[in-house]
Amino acid sequence: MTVGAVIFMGLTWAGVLGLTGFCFWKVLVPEKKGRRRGGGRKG
Amino acid sequence: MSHSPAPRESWGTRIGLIFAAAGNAVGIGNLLRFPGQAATHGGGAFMIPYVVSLLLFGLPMMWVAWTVGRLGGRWGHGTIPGIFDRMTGGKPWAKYAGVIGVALPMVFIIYYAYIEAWCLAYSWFSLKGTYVGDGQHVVDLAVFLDEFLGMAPTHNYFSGIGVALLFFLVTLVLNVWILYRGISGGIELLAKIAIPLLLLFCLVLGVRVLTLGTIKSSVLDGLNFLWNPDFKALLDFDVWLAAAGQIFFTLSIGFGSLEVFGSYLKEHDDIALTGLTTASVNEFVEVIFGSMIAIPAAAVYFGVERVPEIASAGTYAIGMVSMPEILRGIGGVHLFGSLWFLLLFFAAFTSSVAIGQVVMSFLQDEARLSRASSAGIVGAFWLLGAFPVVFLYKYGALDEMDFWSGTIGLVVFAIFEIVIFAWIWGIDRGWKELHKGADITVPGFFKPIMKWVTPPLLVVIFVTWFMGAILSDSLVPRPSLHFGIEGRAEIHGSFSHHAPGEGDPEYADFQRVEEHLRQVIDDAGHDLRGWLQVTIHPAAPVAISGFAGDPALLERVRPAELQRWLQLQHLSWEPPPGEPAHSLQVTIAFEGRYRKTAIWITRVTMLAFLFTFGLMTWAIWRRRAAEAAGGAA
Repeated sequence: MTVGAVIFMGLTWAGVLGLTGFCFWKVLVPEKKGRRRGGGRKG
Repeated sequence: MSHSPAPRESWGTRIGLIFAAAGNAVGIGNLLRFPGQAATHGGGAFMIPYVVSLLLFGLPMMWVAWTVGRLGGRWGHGTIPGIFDRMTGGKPWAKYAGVIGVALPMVFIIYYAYIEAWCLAYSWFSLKGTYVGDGQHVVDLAVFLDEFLGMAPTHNYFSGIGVALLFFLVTLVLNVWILYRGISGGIELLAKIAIPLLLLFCLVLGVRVLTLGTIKSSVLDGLNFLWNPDFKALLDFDVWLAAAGQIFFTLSIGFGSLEVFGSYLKEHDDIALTGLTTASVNEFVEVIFGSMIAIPAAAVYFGVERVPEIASAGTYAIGMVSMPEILRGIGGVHLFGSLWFLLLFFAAFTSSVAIGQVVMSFLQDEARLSRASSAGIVGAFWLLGAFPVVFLYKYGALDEMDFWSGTIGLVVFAIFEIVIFAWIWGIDRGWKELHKGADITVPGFFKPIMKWVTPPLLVVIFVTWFMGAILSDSLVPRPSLHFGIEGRAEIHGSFSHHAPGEGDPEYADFQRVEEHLRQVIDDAGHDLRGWLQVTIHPAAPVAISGFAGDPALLERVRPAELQRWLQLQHLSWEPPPGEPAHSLQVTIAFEGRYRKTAIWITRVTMLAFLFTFGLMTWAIWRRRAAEAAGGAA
């Protein structure tokens, strides 16, 4: 494979995998909405 | 007395909704159309306009669709006529513009289910080894497909379209059954089973292709062909248009199905992340598995130099002719062939039920019919509309429906939707609505894109596609010319033919001969058939020694003209390996098809759907107005 092909394939696959991974991480590990006010969880 | 509508259904789980939405987006095009488009439009460089299109109208339209749908659900409308009506504050034209968003999905599922049925049938053929052949009998896969669909003038492998019709009916029953089972018990359940299976099949086939090694070329040659960037292609407007078209089709924008899915959500359920996840799963299957299977396999088996010809032969040729041939060649048709076609079937099945739900939702929400009655009506419409698709397929009925509903109609609908969302409803309200209960914040630059960039881009796509069809004269149904070799199944060796293309020195001559043949058929006003006795020698042009057929054909077409037509197509035959070159006497069946009647029947069928849903919308709103007046009194 040429360097160009490796770069384009690598970047595209990494981008798609990264985006899909991010989305599923956000879907499966949702942040709690509107529960915390100021500061973080204590104790 | 007014009837309160039955409570709307809802999704069982969020992951089920995401799988269903991804199933809607992931279709045959992800695995076949994308690699073909990328390979013929600049390779790796194709990804630049592809990503630009994704950002400029793919993702914006995805979020618009979910927002519009959730908004509609709050008002009790799952489909576009009701949603547009409310979003425009009751403008009379809006609900009729929204009728497009119900009629076109109906037309789309009618012909898409036929393609789905081919995949199911081929999975069965693979399992049974129908197209494997043996030492005595050759199965020419291109002819096999044409005869299966009634496209070929010969009957070597199928005596008619009975088998295709049977598989279509099975597919139709399966679709209607899933729709009858409803949102969580039907579509969501199907997606929860089909999407993991689809990913598993992709993985098994991907690993199989990547471990093929080298036959005529290596897997790396195939991947290189697909990904090596040709930056000069970026200067070609057609490449940008092809990328925009691919994004449009792959995300299922403009079908009204995402809106229906969104309508079953609650006001504060997230749609921003759900929309992005839907797009990302679709891209995952398209970019990774779509580029890993068909083109690299073709490069390994046929050699990388033949890939451009295979890639440009079209989506179905890659999937239904090249892939079975490869799988037959490398062994394991029963397993890998079945998996490949089941994969395509699941990809199509999840899409067709999602789009079918648009019509279901219209009948349930607006006409206030029960789920069973709605499923019955959808099934009846489906069956009625399928007649031209199945029986007039050989005249181009499916392509005609695909052009009007699956190409032009989608863009028209998308233009209405984005204009109503960003300009009439208002981008500020729309943006706020999108972020209600959102698990992510959509980057702010998408807001001006939705208002200022996406609408004109969609208009450009519409004008280019429509003008392209007008300029290429493809809206006028001209006769089509076909030929086939009688007794193909009994003849060893391989046939090939290749018509000259534009720029070819023989192109003008070829056009002249074809023009005359078409004129003869046009003048006759019906199909004309002929049979030619032909001698083919590997080292000499074909020669005709006999000609019989319809009197109108014999009267106006000389054998020498048909001989020239076959010669210009470079019809040739190669004996099997190891056999010396020798002449072959064959009978060639010629068929000139008069397409006007069939194409107009197809167009009238599509218009009938548009009119029917338009009339239903008129009656529903009239009844509502009467009910409102009665209530007020």
